[in-house]
Amino acid sequence: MDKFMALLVSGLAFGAIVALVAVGFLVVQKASGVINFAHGDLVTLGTFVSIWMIGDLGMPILLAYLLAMVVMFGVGVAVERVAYAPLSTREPLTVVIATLAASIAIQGGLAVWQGADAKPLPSPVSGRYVNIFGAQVTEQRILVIVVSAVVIGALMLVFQRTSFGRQLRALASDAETARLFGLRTRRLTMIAFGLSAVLACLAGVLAAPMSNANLTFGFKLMISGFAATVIGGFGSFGGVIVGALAIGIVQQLVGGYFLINYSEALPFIVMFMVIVLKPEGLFGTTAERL
Amino acid sequence: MIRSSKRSSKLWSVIAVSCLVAVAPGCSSDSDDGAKSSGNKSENSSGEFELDKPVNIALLWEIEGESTYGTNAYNQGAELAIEELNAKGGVGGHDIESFRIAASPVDPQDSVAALVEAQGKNPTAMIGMASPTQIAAAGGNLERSPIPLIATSVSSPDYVFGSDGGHDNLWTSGVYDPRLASEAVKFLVEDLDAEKIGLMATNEPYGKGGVESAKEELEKLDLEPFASVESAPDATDLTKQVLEMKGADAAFHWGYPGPLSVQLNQFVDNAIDIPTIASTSGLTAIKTGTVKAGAAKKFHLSLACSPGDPSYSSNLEDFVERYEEKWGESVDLVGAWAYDAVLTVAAAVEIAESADPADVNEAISKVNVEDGSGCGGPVKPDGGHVFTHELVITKVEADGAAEVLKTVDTEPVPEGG
Repeated sequence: MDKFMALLVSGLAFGAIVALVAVGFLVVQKASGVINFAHGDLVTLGTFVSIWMIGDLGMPILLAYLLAMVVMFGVGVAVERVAYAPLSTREPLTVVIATLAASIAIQGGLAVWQGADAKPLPSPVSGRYVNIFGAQVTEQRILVIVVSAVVIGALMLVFQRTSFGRQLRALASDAETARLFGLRTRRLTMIAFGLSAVLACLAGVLAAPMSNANLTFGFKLMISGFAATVIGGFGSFGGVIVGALAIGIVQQLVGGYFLINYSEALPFIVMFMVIVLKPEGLFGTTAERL
Repeated sequence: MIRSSKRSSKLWSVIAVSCLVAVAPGCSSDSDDGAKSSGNKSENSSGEFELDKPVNIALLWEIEGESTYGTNAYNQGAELAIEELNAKGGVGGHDIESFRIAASPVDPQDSVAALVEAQGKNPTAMIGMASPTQIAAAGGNLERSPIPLIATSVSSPDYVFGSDGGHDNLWTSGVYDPRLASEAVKFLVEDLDAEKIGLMATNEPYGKGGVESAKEELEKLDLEPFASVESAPDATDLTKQVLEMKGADAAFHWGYPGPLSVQLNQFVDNAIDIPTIASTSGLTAIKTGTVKAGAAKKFHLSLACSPGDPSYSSNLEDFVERYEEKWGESVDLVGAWAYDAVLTVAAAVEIAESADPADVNEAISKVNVEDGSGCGGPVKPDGGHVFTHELVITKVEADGAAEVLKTVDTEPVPEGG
């Protein structure tokens, strides 16, 4: 039972982080219609900004996390200005390649700034544990699940109940018509990119204390987030969250009991099965903007 | 007329290109000729041999900032050796020269490209290729030229001389890895009285090879592995693998630094209080500061040498002091390997009295550096082309403090391993 609980909590925590990353993906995709391949590096960058603020500037941990998110909002806007806005009238593939270039530039800049060694990120709950049905579980994993649930819940409310959310959904539905109706689409897109970067930073600072941060730390999370988006269905907020949790549970629970040496591949096998059986994803529709 | 003219023009173009292609190989590559003509010797008035041009060593590794795996240790070890040799007059009347080409330890294609580029510059010898992955990938191109490659890595059954992957001009400045792994297991069983030993490894040649050697040693000791699990070299969560170790007396972990530090931390997170033994990657894991305080209370390493506690070897103490004086930081084991590799090249040139790569390659087998090596022990290549045979079992803390618990002299590796 203790093994099951440990794997379940680990799977939910991983799924929660992947959900944050995937929702960040989704926000940009809804606002601009493109996949931001720099998203993983924004996760990494946000984490290293936090590490720098705590280690080099001596800031308190929570303050560093919050300030890092503010910084990353600015970085997200900068990515939109540089990699998306000038190319927004071009083919989507051109924008995708531009985001890939941004990814390489961010990674290269990080390597020069912070070096290539893995680094630890402290957490406010480092070294603290709770016992759940006989399993010793770090408070960090509980924190990840709770914070992710609160943030994603808040985002859902924003998208459903606020003017900003309605505008973003209108933009995602038909950008041209949204512009004709007087929506400030450029500002919306900038805010979406900024928000996406904040979510990336949050995912990074929640995940890093459970392992370590290195230059490819965010890339792996991005790949899992992408898989979650495919499983859940592009454009479906709820579907993406289900997809992310499915990835976490499959990898940890199924992988923990059966194919342990191949557990990292299991979520992608599930993704391929979903693509074959329901290409639009579990909750997606065929009429989504790509 | 015009059509006929265009056709004949195309035909002449094809003939011209074909001639160029046929003639080009004879003109372009001068590696063989270069190898024969470089480093010709003469004697000076004192009867010492003199080379007509300096020994030039190709250094094949990444430095810090070039990738996640880049470290300055190799370069610093090699540069220290070159500086010290040049201060004594160099070799053959010239200072030793070197040039570096970045070679990723995890990208086989990059390693092959780096090796080929180095071969094209016709050095006396090449030093580098820090990982078994690189060596296995690049090894196939070694036969393109006689230039020796001294791999700054442990030796593996996959490429020890005499094996299918071995080459006449491939050498390793580290210890034979199966010996490190088997001595690690013997330490757990004989010194720590462990019977239920869990095996963990990264799912690539180095990790898998270590686990194979561990299983062989356990079999000799009439024991079976408690569990055997693998992870990706860049894994950031080992919850599943760590939980498999619950109930074990000890853990044997052969793999990359990232998963190793995650495992140590997650042992604490999951209330698993058993000793772990690893190898060279453990030094990197400790050095990066990613092993939390308290997670390395029972952490041991099986190493070619232990610069963290050099008290067992006066040679090593001396090397550590010189290295720290020059670079202002503690020496990494791999820096010692790079240092020894440069020493070996210089010694081989002096034995051969030539900087011709083929002569140097043949002379490497005759090298015997008793004193002044970086790792402290003698440098004496054996039948398997492995340089060093002394290893140590060390206990190491999260802050890097190390204590050598025992030293082991292993037998030379025969041809074929």
